Amino acid sequence: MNVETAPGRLPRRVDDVDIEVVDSVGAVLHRPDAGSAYELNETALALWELCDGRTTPEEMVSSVCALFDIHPAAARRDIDRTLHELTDAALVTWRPARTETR
Amino acid sequence: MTSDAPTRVLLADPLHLVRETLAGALRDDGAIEIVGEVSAGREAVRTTVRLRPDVAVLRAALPGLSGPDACRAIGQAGVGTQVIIVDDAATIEGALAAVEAGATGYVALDGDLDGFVEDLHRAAGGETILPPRMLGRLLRRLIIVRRQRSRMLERYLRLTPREREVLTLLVSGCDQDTVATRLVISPETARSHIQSVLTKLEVGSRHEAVALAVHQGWVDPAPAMPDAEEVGR
Repeated sequence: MNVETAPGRLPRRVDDVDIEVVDSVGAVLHRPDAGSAYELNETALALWELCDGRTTPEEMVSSVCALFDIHPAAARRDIDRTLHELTDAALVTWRPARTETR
Repeated sequence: MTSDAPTRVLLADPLHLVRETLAGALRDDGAIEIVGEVSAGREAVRTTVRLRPDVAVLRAALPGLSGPDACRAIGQAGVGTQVIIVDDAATIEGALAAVEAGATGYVALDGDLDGFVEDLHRAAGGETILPPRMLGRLLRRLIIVRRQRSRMLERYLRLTPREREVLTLLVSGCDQDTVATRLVISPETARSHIQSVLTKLEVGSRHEAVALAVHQGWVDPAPAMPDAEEVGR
């Protein structure tokens, strides 16, 4: 576990991103300020959309498990990996959680 | 089901024309066998339990028992049938109802038939099927619903064991005097317990408390009906 996914910090998607939806792929996210683009599959796009600075990775795991027949540990692993990739691509930043996150 | 066996499908839709259209597309696939066609919810449950198809395709707005309610009943029957809910148009509310009922898939009637056949094969394998671009919004709604339930559960957990007994009796239709009789306490004590339940659940009336308890699944509304003798008092 690195500092980003440590307890007490929550992921938040960055502003100023253009989204181009691509059928059967997911979407391409463009960051005009950086001149970069990232292709996300539908699941990664959905997780990126959940990064609102209030939703915890645990809540993401719980909702994904409610929807798909997947073990929570596997879901957690996949979600952590996706969040790391989004962080590396500067599409997500991490901020301290407030006491009341709901 | 072996790999060579066709995928056995039950179709449930109130409209004959829709059933025929779907059945035609599925038969053309060659790897699908339509084992039954029904037009109402309860009939869909009964037929699914009897025939045990691999997939039941249920229209969301089935008469008698809605598609999601029929899906829930099929799941409780434990026959291992995957359910796809077909809605007039894809909505988050419809998808949420389908998912919460245990459906494997949620599709819209305005999609293309080839895509539907493909979805059916994926659902038969247990894969979750959702309309494109709905996943993020659906996950968000699931999270919101779970947060709400968690907050509600916190209220329920405030109740003492005695107050939970009182709530169960209220759900079963008991009034204050019957609660007192059942718990062998005075009517004043029963009134005090009921008031405490309302305060802790943050509701304004017994009706609200009962509705909340049933909706949240804390209390089964069916059992513990008061004795006829007690009701008559």
